[in-house]
Formats: sequence, C-alpha cells, structure tokens
Amino acid sequence: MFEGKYGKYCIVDGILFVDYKEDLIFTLKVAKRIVQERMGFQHNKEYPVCCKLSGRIDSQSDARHYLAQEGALFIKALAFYVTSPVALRLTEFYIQTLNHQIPIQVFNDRNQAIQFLKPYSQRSIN
Amino acid sequence: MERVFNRVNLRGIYRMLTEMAKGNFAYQIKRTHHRDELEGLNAYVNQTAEELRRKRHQFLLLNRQTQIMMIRTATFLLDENLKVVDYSYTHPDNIVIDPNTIIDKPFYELLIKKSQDRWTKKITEFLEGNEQSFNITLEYHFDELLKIDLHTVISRLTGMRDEKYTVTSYLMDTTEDFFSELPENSEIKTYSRWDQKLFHEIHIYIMHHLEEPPKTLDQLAGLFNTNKYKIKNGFKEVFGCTPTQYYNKQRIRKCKILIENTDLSLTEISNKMGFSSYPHFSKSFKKFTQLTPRFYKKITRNT
Repeated sequence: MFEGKYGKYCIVDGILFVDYKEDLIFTLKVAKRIVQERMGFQHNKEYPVCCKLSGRIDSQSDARHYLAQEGALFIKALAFYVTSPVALRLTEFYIQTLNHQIPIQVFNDRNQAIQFLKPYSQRSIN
Repeated sequence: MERVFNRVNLRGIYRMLTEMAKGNFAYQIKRTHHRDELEGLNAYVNQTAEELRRKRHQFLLLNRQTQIMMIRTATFLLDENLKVVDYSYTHPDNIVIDPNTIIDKPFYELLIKKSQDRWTKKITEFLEGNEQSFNITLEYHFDELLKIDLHTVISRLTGMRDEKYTVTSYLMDTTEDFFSELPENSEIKTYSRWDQKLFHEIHIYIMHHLEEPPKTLDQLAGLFNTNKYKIKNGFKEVFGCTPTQYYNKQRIRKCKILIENTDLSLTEISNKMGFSSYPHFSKSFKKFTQLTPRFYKKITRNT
C-alpha cells in the first residue's frame, strides 16, 4: 500500500488498485504526477489497473491526451470503477473520444471491474 | 439531492449549445458542487467544447483558406489599489456593458471565485518583487451561466508617479466576417475529408506501434492503400514532419517517461522501445533532446 499525493495504490491478486482522492481535477500537472507515482509503485512490472473515481471530478484536455498516451505505459488493461454520475459521464467521455492502446472499460460495480481485469492478471502471474 | 431535468436547470446547457453553434468553443458552463446526473451532463458538454476547440485548430490547418485567426482582447488599466481606472473591451455578442459595473471596482471582482484566489496570490508576489510582468490564466464572470478562461499578461507601467498596471487578456479566435471578403486562393493546398481521415489513421497507427521498429513509407502506403508521396507530403503538412520523424519523436517522448519514472536500465529501455541496439537508441535520443540518455537519466534523477 502506498499513498501518493492524489491517490492510494495497492496490488491485490495481480491487480493494481488506484483509489483517487475525491473531487480531483485532472490538470496536466496532476496527470504527470499520477503517472510518475503509479510507475514508481509498479517497479517496472505491467499490471491490469482498477481506478476508483468518485465525487465531482473534472479533467482538462491536455491531461486526458497525456493519460491516454504516456499514461498507458505499464498498464495491461484498465477498468474504471465510478461512484458518481459526474465521474461516470466524464469517464465515458474519456473512453469514447480518445484512442486507447489497451483494453479499457467503465463499471459502477467493483466486482465487475475486477472480473474484467482478471484474465490480464492471470497472464501476468503465468 | 438529485436535481430534476427542467428548463431552469438546463439553462446552462442551452446557452452553451447556442455558443458552440455560433463557433464559440472557448466558453465553459459554470460548474457547481452537485454530484448528480445534471452535473455530469454539464461536465460532458464542457469537455465536448474543449475537444471541438482542439480539433478545430487541426481543421483550420487542413483547410488553409479558413485559417484566419484574430486575437480578441480585453484590456484593463489598474491603479495602485488594483481598482479599474479604464478598460477596453467589446462583448462578442455586442452586448453593451454599463461602465459603472467595471470602473472604480476592484479588478478581482470581475473574476470568478477560483480565479480570485489565484489572482490575489500572484499579484501579491508580483507587487513585492521587481518583475516587469507576469502571465496567468484568468476566469472572468462572463454571464450568469457561462465562464471563460483567458491567457493574461499583467504589466507594471513605469514613468508615472503612482504605480499603475495593465491587465491584457486575450483569446485566439476566428472571425466569420473575414471569410466572405477573402478572394479564393487556388494555390493554398487543401485536403479532402478522406485524406484527412487517412492522415488521422496513420497518426493513430504510429502511436499504437511505437514499441516496434518504424515502418517505411512504402510499407505505410501498402498498409493504407495509398501512395508514399501522398503520405509523406500530406502528413508533413498536418503534423509538421514526416511519419518517420513523427514516429522517432514520439518514441523518444516515451523513452523519456521511462527514464524519468522507472528504474529500468537504459539498455532495457532501448530493447523495450524496439531500438535495434543501444548505440542506435543513444544516437536517436541525442538527436531529439541534445542530451545522451545517460546524462538525461543523471539530471532527472538528481532533480
């Protein structure tokens, strides 16, 4: 378990869980810090990632493009687990308007998010 | 508490859609502290406008005859107490503003709350220092429902007994009126919708294959059923460099992220990013950054 500036990180059963702080605004500066913290925590190993987003989040265009490109390094697959309508709409926007190199989906149920990521975690164990 | 979707609550959305239809993508709906579906819709519309604005710049680049840009500005003269002495501003919809709502008012009252805090912090630092000017992004009260972010330069005026300051906020924008007056220029190159789609697809292909050795123009032409000259010239018109140069530049960007954020050795990074050898990686890296990977690693680690 590691607590960064904008979220908490932990690895369970080969899945990296990232719990972002509530009401986070993703600026380019925040996005770069998040990528830096995540990659530092992963120690050069690729993981499927489950991100929890909640509250009244917002994001800026530069940050979204950065996260879709550089932010995808060392991620096998990405599941967003969202707990507010705002987070859900903005995550859908992020998924549907940008080109992603990795499998990516949004869920409002944590278990479904884990089920989606499981095949990728098994591949990393083998 | 969940707000209902009625005419009153949807006013911001309607205002924003109207502005977008008129070509004003720089506005944003004021966000609230609600966390409901309506707030999700407000945020979604804001981000749509932001992406459309970003894409419009590319559209203007591809259709050169419409690449007429103007800078719309708002200028304020402030006295030593940071009150507005005079200003120059025309509302985009030609709405007449009562000068009494601006003159003699503290400048920060023109800004939204979030911007007021940022303004106060930066101007305090500026007044204590000796800098001639500074830059900041400010969000003005635009109307009841919308807001607008503007790049702004604040300068100190010299040669007067009392300190005075200018605040110049600007927005790069296009103006429709110009287009009808312009003669057709047959020498300006334009691209069809299909060609624009082609270059966009090549761009995505490159971004998705950065960890593999680069494709030659002939190979790209084969993959996208076109000829290499169209790819070479068209891609350069849009992205400012050939596909190979673009690929190299993007690959080095990823290498920089790996050097900055992982403890992979430089050889491992070279292998991961598909370089044929470490010397090849080192040479490419130096070409784009003027630094060797070793030196880049050293300076990023020290900071």
